[in-house]
Amino acid sequence: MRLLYSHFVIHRILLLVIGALLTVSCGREPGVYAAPPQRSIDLGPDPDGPHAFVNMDDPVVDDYLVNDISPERGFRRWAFTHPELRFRTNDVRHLIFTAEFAIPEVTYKVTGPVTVSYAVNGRTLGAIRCDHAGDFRLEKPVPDGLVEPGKFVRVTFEANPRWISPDDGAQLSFLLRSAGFIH
Amino acid sequence: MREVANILFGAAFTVAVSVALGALLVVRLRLTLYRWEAELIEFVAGAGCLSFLIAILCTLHIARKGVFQWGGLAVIALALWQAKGAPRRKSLPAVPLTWMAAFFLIFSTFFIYYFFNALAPEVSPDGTGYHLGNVVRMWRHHGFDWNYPSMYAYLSQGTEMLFLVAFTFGRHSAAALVHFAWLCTLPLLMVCWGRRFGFAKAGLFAAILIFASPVIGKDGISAYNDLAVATMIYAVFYLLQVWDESGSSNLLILIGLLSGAAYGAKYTAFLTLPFALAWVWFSRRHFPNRRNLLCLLLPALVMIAPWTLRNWFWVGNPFAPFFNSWFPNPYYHAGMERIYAESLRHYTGMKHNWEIPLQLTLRGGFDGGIFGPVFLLAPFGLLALRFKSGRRLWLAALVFALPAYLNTGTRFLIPSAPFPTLAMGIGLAEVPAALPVLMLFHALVSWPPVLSTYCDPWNWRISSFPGRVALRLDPVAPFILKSIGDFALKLPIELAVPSGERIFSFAGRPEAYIDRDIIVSYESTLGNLANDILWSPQAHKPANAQHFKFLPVTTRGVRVVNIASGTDFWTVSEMRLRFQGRELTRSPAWRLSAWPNGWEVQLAFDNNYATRWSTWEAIAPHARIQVEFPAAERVDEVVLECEPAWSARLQVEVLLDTGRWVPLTDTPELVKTDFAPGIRRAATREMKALGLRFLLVNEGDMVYADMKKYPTFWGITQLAEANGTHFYRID
Repeated sequence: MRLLYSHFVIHRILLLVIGALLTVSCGREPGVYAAPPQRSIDLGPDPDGPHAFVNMDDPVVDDYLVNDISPERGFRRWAFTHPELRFRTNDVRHLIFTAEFAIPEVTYKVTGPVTVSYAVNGRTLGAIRCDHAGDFRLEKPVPDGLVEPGKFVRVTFEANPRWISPDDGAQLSFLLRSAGFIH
Repeated sequence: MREVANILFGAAFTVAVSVALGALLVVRLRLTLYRWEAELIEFVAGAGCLSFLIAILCTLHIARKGVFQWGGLAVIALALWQAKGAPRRKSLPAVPLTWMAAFFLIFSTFFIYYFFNALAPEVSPDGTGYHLGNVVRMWRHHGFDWNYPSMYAYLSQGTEMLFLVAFTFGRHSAAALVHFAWLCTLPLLMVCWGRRFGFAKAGLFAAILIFASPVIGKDGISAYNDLAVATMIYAVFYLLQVWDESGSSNLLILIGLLSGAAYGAKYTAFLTLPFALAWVWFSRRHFPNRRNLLCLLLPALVMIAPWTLRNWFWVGNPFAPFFNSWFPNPYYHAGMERIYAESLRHYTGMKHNWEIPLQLTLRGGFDGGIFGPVFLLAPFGLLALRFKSGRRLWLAALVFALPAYLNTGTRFLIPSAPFPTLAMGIGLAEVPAALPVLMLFHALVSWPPVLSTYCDPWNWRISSFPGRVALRLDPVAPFILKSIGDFALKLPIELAVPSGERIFSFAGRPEAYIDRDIIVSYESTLGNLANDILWSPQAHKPANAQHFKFLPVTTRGVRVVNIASGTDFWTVSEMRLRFQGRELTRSPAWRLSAWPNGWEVQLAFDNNYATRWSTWEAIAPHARIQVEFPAAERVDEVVLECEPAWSARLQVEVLLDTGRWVPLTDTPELVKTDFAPGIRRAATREMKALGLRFLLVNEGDMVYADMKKYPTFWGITQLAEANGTHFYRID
């Protein structure tokens, strides 16, 4: 308060400050609201959820992503530490699991050759050794009984070694282009 | 030809009323001005006054053709009656005839080219978008449309007020011609300045540089407002120097009026008033006194008042659509303002800042227009620093270039451009033949067909001479369609959308040509909400739930508070309260609140995964979402269904009987969850609830691929398509 009585704060400045405060106080106050009428949640089906195969630029790709795949839209997405996807197919005969991915030059320079293993419903199906930077495609028949018709199939990848960010420790495995089951 | 006559009448009538009002004002203020100079100043001042009067008519919703017509005729009659028998004004100091002849030759050549372009149907992006979009809405409502939410409707619209008068009689092209009148006024005023203050050749040189400059020409023939702003600012600068000579307090009234009118024309002219105040305050010739400052300040505040008061009462923010953090309101989010401002502030596509001078003068591909290669010689204007006038010109150039920092478009430098141009003229005046050679060279390389040979192909410029369509000898629709693809949807839209119903669009549209209101995604909170709803199936389908569990408590209120800072927004799709695993039934008696953006808190309690509450601001401590119950409730779990904001740190607090909030837990368990299906249908249902049954979607919009693939799941039908834009109806 002493400052207010000093010559440092002259009346004109004080008036200006009060004026400014009054002006700022004129923004609208949001207030308090009642709970609104409740909407029904179930409005019928979505486009029958995940299918057997997905490209990363599919508009419904988010339905397939379970874990550790980058959310940014694009035709390739980063797979992080434990990437996981889900699929669903009714025809489970003679299934072949397939995926397309890339090891970028920038991470390969640091990691060297990378081994990517892949598992379906928790059971390891195979592995591929990537001894150069570039695009890779894997295909592996799925044993009968491993995939049940109409039920979600979980697919996981493990890359070793992974690129580790020196800044924040974030880990990058590879760039995924597509994955799923074909006949 | 009748249409052309209407257009010309609309524009000429608006200019005539402006000049008449200005003449009345100049006589009342007993100002002594030279011939030419007086008429130009009268137009500028009168336009400011007319704009002020129309703003009041718009506020009162009596902006009608009859009012304009009879009111305008009365003003013109009064001015003519007043001018009868008035003494003839003195001439400005003479200029060599060869200089004057060269000036008028170049000026007339460009004038004709520009005139036909302005007379042609309006096709500029912002002109057909919001400048005339606002005008059309005002014309329909006989005033401001208080129900239309758009950041562009909140801008000061001084120039649009003049457009409204012209539009009433001659529609779109009449408005563009009014702006063209400003384009012609500015260089002529520069010539007057040169003649009055002893730099006649520099004035003529600079006037041609400005008038022929490609970006200034293109802007000036469009229904924009930059030339109006530039001319008002320049007139203030001009009159301040006249005041330096005369010391007339009445002149300060006119300067103040123009300073306020400049702000009214465009917010970016906000520095005009401080500039004038500082000029008067620091003037050595006339000892500054309070009366002088008041003579300047009061008229300016009067001219500014319609816009600040309108926005204050309408939006709750006198400076809307800016400063929304200071003046929070339910119409425009502070976070959206930040995103929008950021998008304007950066040059995109340029590798290095050294490219900026070349972009501004030669290429124009990344910044929307060029001034012309001769402007690369602007540093020679520093030679003018030897003179007091030169120093003043550079000071004004720097001050009025400051707003360009906030928007990288070339046209934001137009208000500043006359000053370095004049300085260049003064600096090079003593170099033999430099000025005429440069003037001719500039005219040649700025001539539209020549310009197209060296600038970037997508540089914003005049690219043709539309003589036949300007005279309406050719049909206008193909001409408009060539520049505005969406124009093809005008008919399908107006057939399908009932009058008064709105359309949602992710991108801006040529609103001036479509007789329906369009809610654009980034222009208002309503647009943001609609955008968010339509994005929900792909961009933020709720897939996570944060469970905060704690020992059972009996409380009158529960809230979740953030205690960290971050750059992203905190969003909550649904906030559910549980006891022993069962959700507490939401009651209309619950009192919901949130901060910031409390206006949308109900979106987190509507049982709808297509809507969500968002802070719409960068995450900050004390952001909260809160429920208070009419009677005490038992609670042991709070569930936030949302996309987690990773930089937020949330804690659950409960309300004690003492009125104190006590934290219980800040450790959520994150669970990935499959929520109920049908989110596309939920999104379109919510759009309909907002009154938005029609959508305009570009093929580049995020939702387009999904809508195309699953129209039945969205519940939409495509009604029309043109040039990559799809027009849908929600069934």
